[in-house]
Amino acid sequence: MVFSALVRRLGLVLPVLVTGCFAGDAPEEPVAPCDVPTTPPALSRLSRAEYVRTVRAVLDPTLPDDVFRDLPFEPNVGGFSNGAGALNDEVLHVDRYYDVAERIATRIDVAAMTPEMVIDEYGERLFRRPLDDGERERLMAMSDPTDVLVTMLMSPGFSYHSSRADEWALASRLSYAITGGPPDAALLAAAASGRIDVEAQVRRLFATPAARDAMNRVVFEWLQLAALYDTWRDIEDFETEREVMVDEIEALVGRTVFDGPGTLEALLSESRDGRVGLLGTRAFLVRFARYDESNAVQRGKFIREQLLCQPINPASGVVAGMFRPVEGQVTTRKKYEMLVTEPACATCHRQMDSIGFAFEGFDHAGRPRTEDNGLPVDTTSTIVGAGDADGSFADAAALSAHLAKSEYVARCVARTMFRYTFRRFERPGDACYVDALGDEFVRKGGRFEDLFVSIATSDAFASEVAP
Amino acid sequence: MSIGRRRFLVGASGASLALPTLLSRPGHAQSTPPKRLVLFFTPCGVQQEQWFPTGGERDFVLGPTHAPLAPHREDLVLTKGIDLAVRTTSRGDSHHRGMAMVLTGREILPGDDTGSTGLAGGISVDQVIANAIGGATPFASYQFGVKTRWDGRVFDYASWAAAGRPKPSNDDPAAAFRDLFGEPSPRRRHVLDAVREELRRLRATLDGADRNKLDVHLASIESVQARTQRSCDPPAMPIAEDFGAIGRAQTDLLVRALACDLTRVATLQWSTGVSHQAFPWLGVNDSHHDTTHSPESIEDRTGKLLAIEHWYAEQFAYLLDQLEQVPEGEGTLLDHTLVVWFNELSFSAHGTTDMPFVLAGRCGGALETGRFLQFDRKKHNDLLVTVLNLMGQEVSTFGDPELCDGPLPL
Repeated sequence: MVFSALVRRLGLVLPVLVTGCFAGDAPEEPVAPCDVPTTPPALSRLSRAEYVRTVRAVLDPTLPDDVFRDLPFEPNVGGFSNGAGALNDEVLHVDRYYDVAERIATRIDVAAMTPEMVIDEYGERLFRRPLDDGERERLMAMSDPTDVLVTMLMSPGFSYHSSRADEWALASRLSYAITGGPPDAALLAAAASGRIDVEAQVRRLFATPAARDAMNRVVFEWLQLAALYDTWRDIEDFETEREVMVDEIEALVGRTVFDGPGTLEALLSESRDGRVGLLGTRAFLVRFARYDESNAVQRGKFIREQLLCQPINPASGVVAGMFRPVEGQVTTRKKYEMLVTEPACATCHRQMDSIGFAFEGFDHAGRPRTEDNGLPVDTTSTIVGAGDADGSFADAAALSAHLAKSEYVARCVARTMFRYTFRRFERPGDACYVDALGDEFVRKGGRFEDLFVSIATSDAFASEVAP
Repeated sequence: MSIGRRRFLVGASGASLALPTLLSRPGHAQSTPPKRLVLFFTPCGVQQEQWFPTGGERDFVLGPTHAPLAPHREDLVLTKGIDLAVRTTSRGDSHHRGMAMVLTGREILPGDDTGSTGLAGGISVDQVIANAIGGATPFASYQFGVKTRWDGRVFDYASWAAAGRPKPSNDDPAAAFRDLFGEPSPRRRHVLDAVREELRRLRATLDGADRNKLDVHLASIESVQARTQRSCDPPAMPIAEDFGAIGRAQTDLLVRALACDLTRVATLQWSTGVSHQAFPWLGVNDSHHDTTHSPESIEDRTGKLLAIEHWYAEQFAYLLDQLEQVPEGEGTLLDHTLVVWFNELSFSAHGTTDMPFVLAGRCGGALETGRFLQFDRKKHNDLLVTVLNLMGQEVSTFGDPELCDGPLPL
């Protein structure tokens, strides 16, 4: 990459760390050809979800959730829970992983098996590669078959994603990226043959139920919906309702990403029962709300950060404006507008609030409304500073329809999927690659399946399994 | 006093508790009880007007928030005038900086290239003490948590093993009970020996950060393997689901772990920085953090926040009650413990001046209590130096030396 291009790219990132609302920005134009990033991947543990899927796929699909309850949580990296590269095995983790491994192993009936039979039956699938002679020998030296199983579940061959440079590692990487679980028999067979047809495997895996589950999880984490389970809303029978809300998201993903056009546009703009796309779902509207009041700040912040890839700098210093009392009967929107008037606050708040106001047509429970506190709602909204996503909109439906067609948004989503599939945030050396990924996603009409193909067949993806 | 003798005590709840006395333990007969350190975290700042005492060093009157602590007035050292020491270049807002810096005294790490914040930039004081004295007990330290899982970033952790290496809290009292008081599985030693061998072999093929990661993994396994059983009456197996009950169960386990000398360093972390915990039983349905920024009248907002802070003060009082219930040496466990109550903010609107540090316990006679100390703009690093000094560590700086002026004049 030429130096000026690098400076231009970094220039978008670095100066705003000091001042301004945005901590980063999406690069504007593509530069080619790309160098393959050379930073080796961090040794990464299986995440909680990957651990559970792997054990269920290999040992017993009926193992109940409770068995896995004590698994350590991984740090959140790039917005997703699969960044277990950032997880260190502290003492507490050893205790918890041990508890879980023994709980699993004692539920698998291996009493009649010899250690060798346990290794032959489960070893390769648990490790996602053949065991080497030394590993095999050392496990064979154990006398109790359950000990063998517990040991395998605690071994680095199971616990860590492979850091070897071979087809087995590539098979694993493909499988966890698309299905969130271990390679199936067909993929292991391809790895054993020494030649994986990556595109064919991606398309095959994308059609499996596991890929749907994995995409549901991606969307769940992208929308930060875990918060629905940690906070409360003034909604009758909320504990049941939030499950229904998450089901609604999964149904939308199924209809648009898998059974329909398969595009980002469809995901964001499907019109159904008076709701438009992902941002019209109750789950989104309720997640980004207060207990009993809509919250345009949170809704707008999500769109600014997650659909436009423009992270808002945290407020610096004392947040003084919040002590201004608001008198009289006003709409929620008016209340926020009156609260955030200090120029020091308003400059950045406008970047969030002016987008979030589009959703004032929905209350804290995600119900459509025309009035708020007895006054008519105002759902006009604007986006500025985000390329072709900019515009003024009458309401949430118009905003969603516009975002759905925006290349700027598509590039941001490609960037997000980079973070998910590479299990890390992008680094400066990745800028060119991430740009190219955005280009290709736009060129292919924003189809998710093709985005996975672009990622999986790239040198960058393959290079991250190389030493 | 014969080995195995148990003294029966009546707890605050009226239930009979069987507690061992340290004097009855072999190897410690007649010796001075060791010093313990307990760090108690509550989030989101405080309403300072109702928090700080009025009056002078000895004749102070507790603030309304601290009413539940009235029975412990003589066990406390309340402080005012200590500010969170930060560099202006630090990323993040006051919540991020506070979580990363309040126990480490070091600048928060930069995060990724999108400009976000990273994790803490150094070891926290509790881990310094754990490294120094932890070898004497089965657990060098133990992190007790009460719903401390939010998003897996800096807000979730109070304790740090090193820069970028959080010590996560155990939020499950049942798991903490198993760790501390359970019989290890008979196959554990055998299995962990085999796992250690595999890790060593993998380690030899790696370098840099990956090798360091396996070093941590290996050290953790070795620490588990080195644990010795210590006879101790286990408390009742805890069953707790809601926030308050989990906190009580964790407090009980913590006190018992200290009393049995299973560890001498413990943290009790309530929720996370930028807490998303709601308190419906106090009439606070929005999260603690949302409440601090809620667009409602000052009276409504302050009233809710005071209810939360008062409730946390009750939990702190409960901890002190329990420590005081354990006879030890010539006094009680509280006499040999230093408790530090800390927060990531000072006032709730992202304040960093007049951090609400409260000390309690006499730390084996090192700390004179029953006082309200008003300092003239001291840096919080200096309090951390003081904590280390009280616990017997002869240091004159801690964390970022540029943010240190020397120990507080106590």
